[in-house]
Amino acid sequence: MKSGRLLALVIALMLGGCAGLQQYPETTKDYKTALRDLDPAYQAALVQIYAADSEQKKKDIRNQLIEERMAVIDSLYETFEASLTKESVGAQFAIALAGIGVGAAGSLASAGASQMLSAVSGGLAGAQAAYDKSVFYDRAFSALVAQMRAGRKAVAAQIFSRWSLGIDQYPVWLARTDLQAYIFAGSLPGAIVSTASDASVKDQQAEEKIDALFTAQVVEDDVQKRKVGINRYVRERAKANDKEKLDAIATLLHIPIIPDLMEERNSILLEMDRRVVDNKSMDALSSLLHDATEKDF
Amino acid sequence: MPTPKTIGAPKTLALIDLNKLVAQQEELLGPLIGIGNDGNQTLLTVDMAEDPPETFAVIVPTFAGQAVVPQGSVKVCEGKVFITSQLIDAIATR
Repeated sequence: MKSGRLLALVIALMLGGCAGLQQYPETTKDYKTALRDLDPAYQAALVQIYAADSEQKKKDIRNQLIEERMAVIDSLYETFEASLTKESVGAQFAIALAGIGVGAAGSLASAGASQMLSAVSGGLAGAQAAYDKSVFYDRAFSALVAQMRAGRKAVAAQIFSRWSLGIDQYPVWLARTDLQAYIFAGSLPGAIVSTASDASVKDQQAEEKIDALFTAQVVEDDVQKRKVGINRYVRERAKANDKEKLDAIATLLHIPIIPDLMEERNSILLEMDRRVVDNKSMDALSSLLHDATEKDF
Repeated sequence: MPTPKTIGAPKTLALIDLNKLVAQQEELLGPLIGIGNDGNQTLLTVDMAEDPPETFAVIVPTFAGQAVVPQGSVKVCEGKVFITSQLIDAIATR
């Protein structure tokens, strides 16, 4: 994230020339005038919301503002993305990357998109032997476009998830911030910053790539008690070397019959755990296995 | 010989709910031996070769590498886990 922010800053400096670095945003004493000049539609929406006599009306005004803006943002983004695919932009992009210290490539020519983007966002420098700039730039460029699309989807999903919230929970200023994030996600600096953030998370997890067998859920105490009951039953059968019973349970659960008794027991325990998240699913499991267990759990 | 199996835990869980989930899973699958994440959810690794423990593990966040370990407990493992969707450094104690 840090490197991404730094890179975004470098880009901003490149685009803005070498004037002295302004360290604080501008401020004003006349917020009403500033807001009217900055975003009159937003100001008008605020006035309407504070005048509205019902929560539903307030939500409707906010959501209309969001919807109008998203339609415009989407349209402008489509034009922007289309312009990026023009041949001349690819060359400019390569120059821009070189200018901000991305001299990478070599082994990266065959790297995955995330590694590629990590290189871009981290400002990876240094020449390597088998250097293929064109492949690197093409792939980095494609990856950034993909990242913009993914970033936009993520922000759009966040906005949608807040769509039905009341005005107290999702005020207009927050909606406006989300919309700004939506615009930023669909920009090259946005893609770079987002990639750096992703890369940071991936770095943290990359020590050992492990896939979870399933996502467990917290269950109510009474459900847990029932799960433990059937779990202990299977454990006891395994301790008693009752392979026939375990095979029957495995068959009913539609999991493979494994020659090794303990491996099969573990598969059964995991599958039963995965299936039960509430009393209803516990009832279903108990019923399903009844022919084998001859018990209710 | 350990039989590690890894399951996921929703990233949105609060610490108290994550610890409840750890207890429930240890009771079913065996003792917790590893914690981590895959970027989308918390990962809990248990040893299914062992019987469920009598005392369940407790995940404790660390701050600047330090954690308040419950009295009489020792560290089992450490890693980054999600607590209310935030990735934080933590240790598991028992």
